[in-house]
Amino acid sequence: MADQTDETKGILKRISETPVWESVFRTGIPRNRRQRMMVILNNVFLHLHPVRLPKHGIKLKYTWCMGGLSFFIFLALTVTGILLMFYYRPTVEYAYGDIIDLKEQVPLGIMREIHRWGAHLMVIAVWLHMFRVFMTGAYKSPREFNWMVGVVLLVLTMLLSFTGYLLPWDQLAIWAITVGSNMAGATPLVGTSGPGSSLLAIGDVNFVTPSSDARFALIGGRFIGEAALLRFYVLHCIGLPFVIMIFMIVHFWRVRKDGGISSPL
Amino acid sequence: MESIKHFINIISAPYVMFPLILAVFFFIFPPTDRLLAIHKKLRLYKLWTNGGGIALFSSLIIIFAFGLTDSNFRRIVTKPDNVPIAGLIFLVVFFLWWSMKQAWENDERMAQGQGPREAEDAKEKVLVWPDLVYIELIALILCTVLLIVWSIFLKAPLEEPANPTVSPNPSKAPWYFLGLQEMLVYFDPWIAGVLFPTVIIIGMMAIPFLDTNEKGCGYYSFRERKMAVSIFMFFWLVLWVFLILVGTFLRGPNWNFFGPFEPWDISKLEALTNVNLSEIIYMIWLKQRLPQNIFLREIWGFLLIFFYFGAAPLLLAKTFLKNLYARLGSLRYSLFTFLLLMAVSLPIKMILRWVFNIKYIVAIPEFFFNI
Amino acid sequence: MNPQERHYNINKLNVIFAASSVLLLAALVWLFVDDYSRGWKDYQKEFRALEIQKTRLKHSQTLSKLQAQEEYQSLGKVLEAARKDFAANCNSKELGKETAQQGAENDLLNQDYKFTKAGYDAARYRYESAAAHHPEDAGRAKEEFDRLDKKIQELRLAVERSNQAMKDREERSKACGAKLKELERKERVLAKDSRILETKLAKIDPHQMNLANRMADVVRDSPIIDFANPNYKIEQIVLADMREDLNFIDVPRVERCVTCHLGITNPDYKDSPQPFTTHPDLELFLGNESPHPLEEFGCTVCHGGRGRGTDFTSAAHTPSSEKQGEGWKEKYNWHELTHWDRPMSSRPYIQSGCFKCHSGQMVIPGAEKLNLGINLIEKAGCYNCHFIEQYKNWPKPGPDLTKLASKISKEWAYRWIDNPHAFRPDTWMPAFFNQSNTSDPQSVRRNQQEIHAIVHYLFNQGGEFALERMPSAGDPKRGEEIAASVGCLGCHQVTPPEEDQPTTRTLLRRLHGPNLSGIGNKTSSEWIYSWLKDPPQYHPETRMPNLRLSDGEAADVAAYLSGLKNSVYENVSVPALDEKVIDEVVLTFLSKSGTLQQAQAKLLSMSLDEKLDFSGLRLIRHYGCFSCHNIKGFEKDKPIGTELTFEGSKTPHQLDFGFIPIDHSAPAWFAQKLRDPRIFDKGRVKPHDEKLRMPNFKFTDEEVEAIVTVVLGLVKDGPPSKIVPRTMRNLFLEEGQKMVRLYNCQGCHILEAEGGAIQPTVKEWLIRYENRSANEAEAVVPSFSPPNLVGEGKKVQPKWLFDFVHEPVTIRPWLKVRMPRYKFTTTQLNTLVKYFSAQDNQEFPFAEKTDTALSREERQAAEKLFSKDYFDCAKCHIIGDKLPEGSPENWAPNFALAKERLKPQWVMDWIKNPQELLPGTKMPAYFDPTSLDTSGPDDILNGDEHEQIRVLRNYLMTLTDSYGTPVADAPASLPQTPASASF
Repeated sequence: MADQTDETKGILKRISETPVWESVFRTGIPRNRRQRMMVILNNVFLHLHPVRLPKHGIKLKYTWCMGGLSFFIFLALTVTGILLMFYYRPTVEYAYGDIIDLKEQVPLGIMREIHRWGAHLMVIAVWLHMFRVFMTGAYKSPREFNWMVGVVLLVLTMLLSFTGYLLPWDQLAIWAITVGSNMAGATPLVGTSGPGSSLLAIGDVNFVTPSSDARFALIGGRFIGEAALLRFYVLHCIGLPFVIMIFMIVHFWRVRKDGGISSPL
Repeated sequence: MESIKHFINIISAPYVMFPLILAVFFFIFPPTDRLLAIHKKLRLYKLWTNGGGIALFSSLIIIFAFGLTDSNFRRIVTKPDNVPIAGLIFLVVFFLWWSMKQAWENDERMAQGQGPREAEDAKEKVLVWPDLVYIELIALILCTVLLIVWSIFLKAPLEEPANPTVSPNPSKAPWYFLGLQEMLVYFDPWIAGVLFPTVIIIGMMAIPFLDTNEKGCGYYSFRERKMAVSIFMFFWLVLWVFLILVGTFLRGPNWNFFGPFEPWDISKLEALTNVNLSEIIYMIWLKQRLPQNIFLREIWGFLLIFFYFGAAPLLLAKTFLKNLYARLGSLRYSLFTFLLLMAVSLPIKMILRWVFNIKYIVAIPEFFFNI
Repeated sequence: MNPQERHYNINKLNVIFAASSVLLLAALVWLFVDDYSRGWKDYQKEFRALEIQKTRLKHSQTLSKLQAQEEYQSLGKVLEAARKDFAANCNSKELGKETAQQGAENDLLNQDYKFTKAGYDAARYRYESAAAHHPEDAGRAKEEFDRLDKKIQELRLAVERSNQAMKDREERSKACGAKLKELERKERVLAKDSRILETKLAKIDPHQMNLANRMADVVRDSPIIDFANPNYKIEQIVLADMREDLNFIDVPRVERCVTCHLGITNPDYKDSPQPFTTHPDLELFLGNESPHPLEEFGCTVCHGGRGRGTDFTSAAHTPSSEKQGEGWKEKYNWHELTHWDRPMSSRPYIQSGCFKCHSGQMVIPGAEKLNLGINLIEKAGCYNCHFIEQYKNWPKPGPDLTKLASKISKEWAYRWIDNPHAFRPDTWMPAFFNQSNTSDPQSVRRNQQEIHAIVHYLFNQGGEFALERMPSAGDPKRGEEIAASVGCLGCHQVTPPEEDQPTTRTLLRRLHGPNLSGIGNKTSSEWIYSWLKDPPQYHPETRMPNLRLSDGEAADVAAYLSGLKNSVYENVSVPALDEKVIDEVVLTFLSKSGTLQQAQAKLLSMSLDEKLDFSGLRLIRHYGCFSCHNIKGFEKDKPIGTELTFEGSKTPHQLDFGFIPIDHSAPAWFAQKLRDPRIFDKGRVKPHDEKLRMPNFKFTDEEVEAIVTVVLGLVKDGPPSKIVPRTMRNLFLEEGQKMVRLYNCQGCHILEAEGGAIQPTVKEWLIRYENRSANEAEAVVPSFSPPNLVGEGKKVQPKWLFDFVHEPVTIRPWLKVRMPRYKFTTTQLNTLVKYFSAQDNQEFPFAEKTDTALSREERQAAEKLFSKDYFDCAKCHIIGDKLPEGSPENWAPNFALAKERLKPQWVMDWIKNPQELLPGTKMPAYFDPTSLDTSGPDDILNGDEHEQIRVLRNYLMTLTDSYGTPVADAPASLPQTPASASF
C-alpha cells in the first residue's frame, strides 16, 4: 500500500486515510487474514459471530440460517411496526378507521401488509429453527439452558403474534382473540369456567368471579372491549418486544459461550 | 373428477386420516430396531433420497394444483390468512426431507465406519468474514424480497368492523393456535387450553434433560437417535402441524368437519351423540340411573386415570421399557413417561371418541372438572 | 488446512449477491410504483384535462365576446393614448429625479427631528430630577432644556413644511395619472370574467405556464416528492357531527368520494361522463345554499357505501342491475366488497336515504318514489302486523267485522277470504290462502276448512246491527247523479279498474275508499242506506265521513249502488265442511298447550260448533286478521309480524334466503318477499302451522320497488337532532299532513299544491248533467270543484275554521259537491287548524284585533265604491240571502260570512291583488298591484287607494250585522236543482 505516492493515490484512498475515516473504521477493508479477524472483533454487531468457525457451520445445509432469519424478520417487524405506530391509534373509535386509511390513503400503506406477513413468516421461521436445532441434537449438553431460552422465545413469538392479531379491531380480530381468551377463562383454580375456581372462596365469598379471573386479567374486562385493545397494544408494542429482546441477548450470548455452532465431538 | 373429490372428502375426515397416519407413521420414523428393520425391508428410506424428495414434492404440488381447480378449495386456501399455512406445509415437508436426507447419508457413512460428514468438516476452521457474513446478507436480502413481493400480491385481510353481537361462524383462533382449538373438540377447555400448552412447554424444555443419549450431537443422524427423533416427529408433525391443517382447512361452520371440496353450508347438522364414561357404565351397561353422589358416579373414570398415570409406568418399567428405565433412572423415567402419556392421551381420546363415542372419562360439570 | 481458511468461492457469492441485490432493488421499485399508482390519480388527471379544455373554451368565448364589444375596442384605443401621455409628462425621468431628491431631504429632516426629540425628553428628565434632587445644577439643566426646546420648535416647522411639499407633489402626479387609473379600472371591470379565467388557466394549463411553473407542475407529482404539495391528492370531508355507527361505536364520518367525483358540486359538468358528472339538482343537494350542503352532509349519509374508500370497489358501489354489474366488472374490475355491512344503495333505491331524516313528513319534495312507498304502506296497513315506530298509533285500515251478519252472507265471506282479488282486483285485502307454500292438495283442503272456521267464528261472535228501513225504493238514476255530484267520487271508484294503470299518489287518493263496482252483489241496499246515513254507527273508527244526505237522497244512492253488479263469485263453489280436516286443525292447536293424549281426549268431547269456534279464534290470531280489522275478543293482541323499525339496517346474514337463488343482498330479499311472501318456504319441510304466514298484496313491480325504498330507509343510525329541525312548526305540519293523508282531504281539495283528484269526475258531471261542451267544462271545472285551500291559514280565522270543519256550513251554494261532516275530536280539529296556520306562518292562536269602525263619510265612500257604478260587488257576491243574477259559475261566496270567517288583513290583501293569493281565481283585480297609487278611482277619499281598500274592508265587515247571520242552508229556490235537494 505504501508504494503509491500521494498524488497518484485515488480520491477514495486519500479519504480512507483521513483521521476521521480511520477513527471510524479501524480495520479498513480486510485484505489479509489478520484484518479479516480484526473486522469481526472490532465491530459491535459483527462480533456476535466468532472469528472462525468449523466449516460445516457455514453450510446452509447444516444451519438453514433459520436463527438468523428469525432475528432478521424480528428486526424488520420492529421497523415496520414503529412506522405503523405513527398512523395507528389503539382506541375503539379510531382503530378500524386507521387500518382502512393505511390501505386507502397513507403513502406506503403497504407496511401493514409487510408487518402482517412478516409476523406469520417469523412464527414459521422460529418453528423451523427449533426443528433444525433438534435434528442436529444441538440441545444436548452443554446447550440445554440455551434450548430452554429458545422455547421461551418461541412462546413469546406466538404471544407477540397473538396480541398483534387483535389490533385491526375487525371481526376476524376480536373473535379470534375471544376464542383464545375463552381458553384463559378455563384455567384451573383461577378461571371462572375452570375446575376448582370455587375452591378459592372463603365462606361463600367467591374470589374468582367473571370480573376477577385469569380471562379478565388477560383482556382487562368481561368482554373484548377498549381495555383489551389498549392492553394488547401496549403488550404488543412495548411489553413483549422488550422481554423478547432480553431473552434474545441471553440466547445469542449462550450460543457463543456454549461453543458456537454444534459440531460432532 | 367429482368422484375423486368425493373420495378425498371422505378420506380426509379426521377419523379416517388420523388412524391412517398412526398406522403408517412409525414405519416411516421407526423408533425401535425392529421397526427400523421393517422400514428397511419396505425400502421406505428411499423417501429421504433425492428421488424421494422430488416424488414427495411433485405429489404435493399436484394435490394443490388439482385442489385449486375446485372453487370451494380455492376459496379456503386463497383466503389471505390461510396462504401462510399453505406455505407452512411446503416448508415443513422440505426441511423435514432435507434433514432426514442428511441423517440417512450420515447413517450410511457411520455404518461403514467413516463418521458423519460434519465430523470431517469440523476439522477445518473457516473465517467468518467474508463467507458466513456474506451468505447471511444474501439470505436477508432474499427474505426481504419475498416479504415485499408477497405483500404486493396479497392484501392483508380486513373484515367488517368489530361487532360483539354478531359472531362469525366458524370463529377461529389465530392459525398457530388452531392445534389447541382442534383439541377442544376432544378435551374440556381447561385441559386443551391451559394444561396441554403448559405441558407442551415444560415437555419441550425437558427434552435435553430426558434425552441422555450423548450420541447424535452436532450432526444429522437418525439411527443413533431413533427414539428421540421419532417421538419428536410424532408430537410435532402429527399432534401439532397436522391438527393445524385440519383446523384451518377442514373445520367449517359450527366446527363441523367439511371435506376440502365441500362447500361450507352453515345449516349442516351432525348428530352429537357423545356419552360420558359414567353414562356408559351405569346407563348402558348396568341399566341404572346415574348415582347422585358425584364421587361414586365418577369412580370408574378416576380409576382409569389413576391406572393410566399411576400403574401403567410401573408396569412398563418392568416390561417393555425395562432398559429405558435402567438408562434414565427413576426420576427422569417417571417425568418422561408422564409427558409421553400426557401426549399420547390425545390420540387415545380421539380413538375413544370415534369408536365408543366417549365424551369425558371423568365428567363433573358441577366443578367444571371434566377429563 | 487450506491456508486461506475459506470455503465458498467468493466470485460465485458475488454473483449471487449481485443478483439478489438487483432483485431487491426491483422489488423496492415495484413497491414504490405499486404504492404510487393509485386508481384515483388517473381520474384526477382525466378531470384536469377536462377542466383545462372547458376553461379554454369558456375563456376563448368570453374573450371573443369581449373583443366584439365596440365599447371595449374604443376603450382600448383611449387607454393606449392615456398611457402614452402619462409616461410622457406625469412620470418623466427628471421629474422622477426631483421627487427622489426631495424625498431624501425629507427623510433626513425627519430623522434629525426624531433625534432632537429624544435629546429633548432626556433633557427634560434631567431638568426635573435635578430640580427635585440636586437643585444646584438645575440651572444648567434648565438652559440645556430650553435650548433643545427652541431647536425642536424650528425642526417641527421645517418637517411640516417638507412633508407638505412632498404631499403636493404626490397630488400633482396622482391627478396627472387619475385619468389613466380610471380608464384602467373600467377596462378591468369589462374584462373581469376573461381575466379570472386567464388566471385559472395559468394555474392548471401547462401551455399557459412559464417554464419554471411547468417544471414544478411535473416535479410536484413525482413519486417521493408528491407528499409535499401535489396536483393530484386525496380530497376528503371530515363530518364531525354526522357520525357513522360502526357497531355500537360512533366514528366521525370521513368522505373521500370527492377524490374521484371532482365535479360533483360544479354546475359546468352537468353533461360530462361519470365520475365527474354534477350532482342532479344542486339547489336541493350539495349546493352551499341548498338544505344539504356538501360540507355538512357529505355523501354516505344518503348513499351509504364506504366513505373512506378511494377506489371504485372499496367504496362499495352497488350496481342497480346484473347487466350493470357485468359492465362494471370489465370497466373498473369491480367486485362486490366483501366484509362490509352497508354497501351503497343502488340507483332504484337511492331515495331510501331521505327517509332516515324525513320519516316524519308525509310528502318529501323531490323523493317521488319514496312518497309513493309511504302512501302504499299506509294504504296496505303494513304497520298493523309489523310494528313500525313512525306509524305507532295509526288506525286499522280494514272495515269493522264485529257486525258482519248484517252486511254479507257466509258464502260471500268465504269466497272473499278465499280470493279477494277475483271480486275486487284493486282491493287492499291481501290473499292469505292458496299461496306458493300452501297450494299442494293437502294444504288446499286444509285452507278450505280453515276459512270455514274463520267465517264461522266471525259470524258467530258478530253482534246484531238493526238496519234502518229505507223510506222509498229510491230512484237509481237520480242516485247516480247525486253520487256523481255530491263528492263520493273523491274517494271511491264506481267502475272496475283498468288494466295495468301506473300507480300514482293521485290514483291512490281515488282508491281511498273501496271500489264500489259490484257492491250490489256484496250487500243489500238497506245496509248501504243505513251505512250512508250514519257510518260510525256500524264502524266506530271508520274514516268514511257523513255526506249529510237526506233520506231521499240516501235511498236514491243506495238504489243506484245496489244496481252495480259483479257476478264473478256466482260460479265459485263453496266446498263442504269436512270435519276430519277440522279435527286436524283443532288438534294442532290443542297439542300446542298440552300433551298429545290430553289433546285427543279434549277433541272427542267437542261438538262441531265448538271445534269451529275454537279453531276459528286461533286461526284469526294465527293469521293476524285482528291487526287490520276490529274483531271481538282481539282488542289487546300484539302485532304478529317482525318489527320493521330498523329493518333497513339488517345485513343479508340476518335474513333467511332459504334455497331461493336470488342476489344475496337485503334489497333483493325485501323485493322477493313482497312479490311472493311465502317463497322462502320452498324446499323446506314444515308442518302446516309453522309455514310462513305473510299474505300476498299482489303489488305491481314498481309498487314493490317503492315499498322496498321505504323499508331500506328504516335504519338505526338516525341523524343527530341538530340536523333535523324539530321546531313547533314542523311538528304541526307533520301532524296536519298525517290527518290530511288519513282522511284523504286531497281527494277533493288542493292542498300544498297537490290533490284535487275529484276534478276529472266534476268535469264528467258538468258534461253529463250540466250539458256543457268538453272545453267549456274544462274551463269552468275549478269553480265547480272543491275550493283550492292554498293560503287558507292566511285567509280564515282559526275559530271559524274549527267550527266549520266540525259542522260544515254552505259558503258556495252553487257547488253541488258537498263538504262532508267528520266526527273529529277537538284535538283532531285543533291539529287541522294548527296545520293551516303553520303552513302560512300565521300567529296562532291569538291575533290582535283590528279596528273595523267606520265614520259616516267613510261608510258613504264605501257604499259608493260598493255600488254598481264603481266595483258593483253585488254582481257576483251573494249577500245574506240575496243571490246575484247570472249563471252560478261566476257567483262568489256570501259576504254575510265575512265577519266571522275572514281575517281582516287577508281581505285587504285580497282586494289589492287576488291573483297573488289564489292564482286563477275569478275575482277581478280592481287595483293594479304594481302601481297601486294610481290605479284606484280618484274621486273618492281624494284618490288614496289604501284608504279606499281599508274602508271597503271595514264596510264588508259590517254587512254581517245588517243582513243577520248567514243562513245555514241555501234557500230551496235554486234553479235546476231537484226540488227535494237541500244542502
